Amino acid sequence: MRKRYKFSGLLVLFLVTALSRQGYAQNFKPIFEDGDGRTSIIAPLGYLGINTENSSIQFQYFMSKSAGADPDNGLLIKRNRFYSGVKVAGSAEGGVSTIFNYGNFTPGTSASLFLGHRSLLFQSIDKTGEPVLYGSKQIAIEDWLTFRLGGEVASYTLYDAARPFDEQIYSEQFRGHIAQLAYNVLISGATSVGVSWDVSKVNNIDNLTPVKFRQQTIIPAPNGQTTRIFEREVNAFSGAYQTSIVNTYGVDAVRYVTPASELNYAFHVFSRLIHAADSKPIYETGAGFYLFPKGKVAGGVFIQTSDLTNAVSETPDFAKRLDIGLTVKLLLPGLGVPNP
Amino acid sequence: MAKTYKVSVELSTEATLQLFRLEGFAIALVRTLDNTYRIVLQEFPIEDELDFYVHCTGWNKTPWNLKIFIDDKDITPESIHGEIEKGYSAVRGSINFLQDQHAQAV
Repeated sequence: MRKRYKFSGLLVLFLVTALSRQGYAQNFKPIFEDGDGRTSIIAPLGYLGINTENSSIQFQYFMSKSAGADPDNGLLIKRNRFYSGVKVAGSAEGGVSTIFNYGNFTPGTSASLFLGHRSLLFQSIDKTGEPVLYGSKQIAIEDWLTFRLGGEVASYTLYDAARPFDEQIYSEQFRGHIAQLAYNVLISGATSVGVSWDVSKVNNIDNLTPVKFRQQTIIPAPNGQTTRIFEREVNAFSGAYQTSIVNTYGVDAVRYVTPASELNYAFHVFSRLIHAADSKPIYETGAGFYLFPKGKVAGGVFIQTSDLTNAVSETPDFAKRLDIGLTVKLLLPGLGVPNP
Repeated sequence: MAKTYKVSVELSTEATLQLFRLEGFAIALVRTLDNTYRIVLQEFPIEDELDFYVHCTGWNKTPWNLKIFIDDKDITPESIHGEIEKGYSAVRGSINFLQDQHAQAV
């Protein structure tokens, strides 16, 4: 337990240090996701963030290149619209502090590779390099098509009272994967709409009941006068653990409001249709509200229901099927890159 | 013939940099880990003033900041900056760095 607290302290220290770096504390980009960390709006930029609903830490970097001179014609430009990226996320059922354990990622780590193309349907610049603006209001429209390929590794301790006593506590290794295709468009710098489809291997760990107990091992000494009692705390999940392949269709919409004051805010609504091969489709929907004060920590709160129509859950009360989460995002601080 | 200089460029922004020009040349910049685009150009020819052009797209109110160093001297003590409006920001300008150098020498 001491190690856990120590890491937690280090994490807080790191975050405070990162946030106090003046000069990097600019506006936060709206990065919008649900409790499972899913989003159709993939923002191609670097960040480090924490999502408390699924207790994850995320790191993301996107390589993108601005337009350069066309090697064949000096008057034209080459637009360099492809980009690629990487995202690493660690999540822990027991809280953020347990993501790293003795130097290993546990119990849940995921990594994704991205490949994308921007300005697919809406050009941002023409071949001579002039901005392309749309409509009578002369606004810019930007779009991205992103393909994501990811893998996930997790380890869970499970408890099953129906098994023989010695086998009631056991561990399960989960190896998941995801392939996602997302398209999103940003209109006039304020409205963004994204659609996505993904196929992934998932588990039902979120639906299992966390159990916590102390286990004692009693070893009597041969002389019969002394007894040693070893005690350890076990955190496990109780219930039938299953994995399945699911198709998820998602829609996200964001409205970013930038009044004349320094405080910007955004509304996010999202909807998911989750369809596993052997069960009924599940509708998930939610809404988020995010604040982006200039030069300060930014974040937001979101509320979502994981089963809108009560297709599979055993909780008839709608209010009890609502989850509330917090998201805090911060820009990557300088990583020691020297000035040229 | 224009004199050549070592030119270093740092453009910090969370927005997408679409196009950056120096003296009319389109120069491809790559985003680094801290959302800053950087490049160093050796022996870059400059006529009198240094003309620049920045075109970014992204979420509104996203700022961008441009720093330029010529022969390792910061010629942008007050950084050149802009902000996204209606989804974009396109700014053209020029820096009379020779006059600055002369003025400082005097």
